[in-house]
Amino acid sequence: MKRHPSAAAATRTAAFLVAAVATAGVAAASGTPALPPDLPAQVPAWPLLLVAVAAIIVMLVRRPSPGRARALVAESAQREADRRLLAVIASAQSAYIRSSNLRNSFDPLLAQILELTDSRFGFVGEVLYDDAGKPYLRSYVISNIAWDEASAAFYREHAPQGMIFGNLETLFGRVLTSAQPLISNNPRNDPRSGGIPPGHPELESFLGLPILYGDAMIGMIGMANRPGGYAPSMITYLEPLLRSLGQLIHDLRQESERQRIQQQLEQEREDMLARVDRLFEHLPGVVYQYEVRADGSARFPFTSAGPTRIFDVARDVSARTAQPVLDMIPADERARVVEGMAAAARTGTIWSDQFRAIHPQRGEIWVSCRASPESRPNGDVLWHGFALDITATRQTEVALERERARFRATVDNLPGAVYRCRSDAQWTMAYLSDEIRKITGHPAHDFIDNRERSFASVVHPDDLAATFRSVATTPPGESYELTYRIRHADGREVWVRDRGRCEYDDAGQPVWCDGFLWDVTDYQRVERMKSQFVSTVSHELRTPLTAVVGALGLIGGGALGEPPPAMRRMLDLARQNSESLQALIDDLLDVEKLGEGKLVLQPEVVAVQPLVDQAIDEIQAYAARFHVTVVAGRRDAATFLVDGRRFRQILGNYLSNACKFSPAGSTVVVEARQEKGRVVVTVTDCGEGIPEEFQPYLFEKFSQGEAPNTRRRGGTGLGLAISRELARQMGGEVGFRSTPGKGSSFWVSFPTAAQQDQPGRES
Amino acid sequence: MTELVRILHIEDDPSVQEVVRVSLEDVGGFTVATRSSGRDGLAAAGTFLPQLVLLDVMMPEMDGPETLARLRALPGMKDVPVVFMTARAQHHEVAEYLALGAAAVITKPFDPMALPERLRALWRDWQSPQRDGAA
Repeated sequence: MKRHPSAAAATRTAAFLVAAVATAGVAAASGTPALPPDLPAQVPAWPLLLVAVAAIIVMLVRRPSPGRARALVAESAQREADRRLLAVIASAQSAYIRSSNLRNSFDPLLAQILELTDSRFGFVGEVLYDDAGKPYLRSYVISNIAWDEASAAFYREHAPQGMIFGNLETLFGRVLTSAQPLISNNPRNDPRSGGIPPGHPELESFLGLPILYGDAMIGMIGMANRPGGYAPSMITYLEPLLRSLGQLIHDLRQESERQRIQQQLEQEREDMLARVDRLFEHLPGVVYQYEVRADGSARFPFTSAGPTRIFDVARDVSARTAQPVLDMIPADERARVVEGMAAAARTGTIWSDQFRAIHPQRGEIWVSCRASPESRPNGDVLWHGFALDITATRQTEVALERERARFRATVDNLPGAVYRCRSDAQWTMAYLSDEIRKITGHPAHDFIDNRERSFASVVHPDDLAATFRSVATTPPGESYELTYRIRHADGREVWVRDRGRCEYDDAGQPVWCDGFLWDVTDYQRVERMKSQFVSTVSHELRTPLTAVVGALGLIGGGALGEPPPAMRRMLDLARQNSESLQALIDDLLDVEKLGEGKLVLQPEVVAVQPLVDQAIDEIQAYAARFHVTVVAGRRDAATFLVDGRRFRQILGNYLSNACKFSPAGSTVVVEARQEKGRVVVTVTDCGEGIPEEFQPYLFEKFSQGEAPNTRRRGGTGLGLAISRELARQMGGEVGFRSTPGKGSSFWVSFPTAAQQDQPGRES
Repeated sequence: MTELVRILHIEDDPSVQEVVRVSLEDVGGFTVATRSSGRDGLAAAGTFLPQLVLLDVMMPEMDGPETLARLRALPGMKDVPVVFMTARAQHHEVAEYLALGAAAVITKPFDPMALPERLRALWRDWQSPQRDGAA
């Protein structure tokens, strides 16, 4: 910013008062009163008044005596000369003080000097030094002595900025190098003269005077062609003028330097701001200064430019007042912000906050601010801060929170607990829904990262190992389902069912498990009651059945004599049905035991052939009833690891079904083959086959084909379900192939004993 | 080798009692003493001096295993073979009964025509000298 011209003028005025008084002082001391009789109208009155008063005092003190009349004439001429000199000085000073362009003040000055010294032309310039320390001259003002068109053009072009003269082998050059006045009244023959350019007006006489400030030569005045030449007294005469000019040039230089530095600083500041702005453009927010004045008004002295201006208030506006920005912040938010800033300003601490604002175009926006206060003595507080538009983040957060709330509400409404846990020894929970509190008596957060307790710690110790085992053996992609007990905080045992799925690492080990567990205590109780009931009833049924079967067996066996043929048929009927009843009871008990995992198997390595033969023997009587023949087909010699009795039970179920569903007179074939490391035993009939729509449910409990004569042929519908479960528990698989109308093949397969000795090998 | 003759049958169900009696007496030709409870059975053992005891597992008041334990404490009953009869005859249950000292376990319902021969075979095994060595 530039200094105000009037301020600069005032400074200069003060400087020249000192110079003027000094000049007057010198004049007074030399006994030459120097009162200018007619002051130019444009000269300020009071500094000259001081000079005048000083002169009058000198005059009053020193009155002329009659003996010095001749001297008085000379003195009068001298006084006139001094007056003219003073006028020139005053004029120069006045022009310097008044002129807005300091260089312009030299123009009238040169004219006055030439007139004062009766010179034809001249110059005033400043002395400068080049990098080598060699002096040169730059003109402030120079008489236009153009002698042709070229020199006139040169003058027009260079005179206003100052002409440079660096040739020291000239008369004025001698002044520059010696800093001494020089008079040459015969330049043409003066060996000091370096000549003049062709066409240059003839130089008849020359006076060069150094202008000193202190001991330093800072300028030079040159004049030429005074009729009669220059006398050394001229040097003395002009001395006060030179001194004034020295002061004037010095001030001019200082002012120039000050202006130059000022401009340089201004430029540097602008450059810096531009650089800062460019840097700030890359910030995601706005760097700002916020000034709160003691009177409560506020403004942003500085805000960085950038793509995110947040409030989009022009910088020049916000630099004047913060009101447009403040107006965008809703009253309640603003109150909180203002209060927070005031508190931080009091304690000198950093303030940060996030608040809402209503942007005229964008609507609701969210802003995050952080700033540190700088309290000033006058009560103002200047904040240095950074503001960030967090609208997008906030919107995402809000949407996310809404989703979370919806998810929580959904999860909380589930009749069980949702979880995500690590597959580690603690079942470390990463997420667990609140419903777990009902199940365990502990809040969900207790379990997260095992903060208060691990989930494993509330699983019944007797069931814990089974949970690890079940999860570890669940193949990737398949769900696990566990039933185990939880030890509730109040001491109860809570039965839960837990269904989930794991994420596996590259090595195929489960890492994370996601699932859902729910309280099945009541269900479990009912199940247990049902099991107990079935078990009890079955056993209670067996006792009378033992008597019935036993009694019929004794009669049939002839222990009580031979019954008549008609009676024997009825007795056989009774015996067959009691056997069916016995089979039904056995099946029911097996299903219950399998369901509870209580069926104990005793696998041992056995040969398949004898088992097949035994099963065929056992079914013969049954097959005879349906007039079906059961025969053994191909039987490979192979051994496998099974519970022999239970394997025969599977085969017995297949065979009894085959007999039931085969037409009279047909043959059922049993084969045992060794294929690809497995023993596959197949029972093939020539029956009606299984309707396609029924095939998916064939191995389910209580299922039977919908063939019209199924019911007539009887059966519990449990046989295949039991067979599948028995096979599974012995490591085997079951299946069938069936073509409706052409018969069915049921198979059961187990790894061979040799295969089972190599658990690593795939089978 | 001693012939198996006297069998004590302890069973609370009268129907089963009757079937077993006919099976063992009429088919098998044994002498059978039938008692309806463990207490009565133990009382009879001292006088009847059975060579083999057929013992129902599930009985009110005193069940089969308890009756067996008490029977063993009676004079002369230490080495008498005791055969359990039960409707509960899973592997582990059978193993449990054998561990208690039962000679065999017969599952209900049973074939009454085959029962006498089965007991005779069992008796023969029990009498054989290898049994002692194996025990």
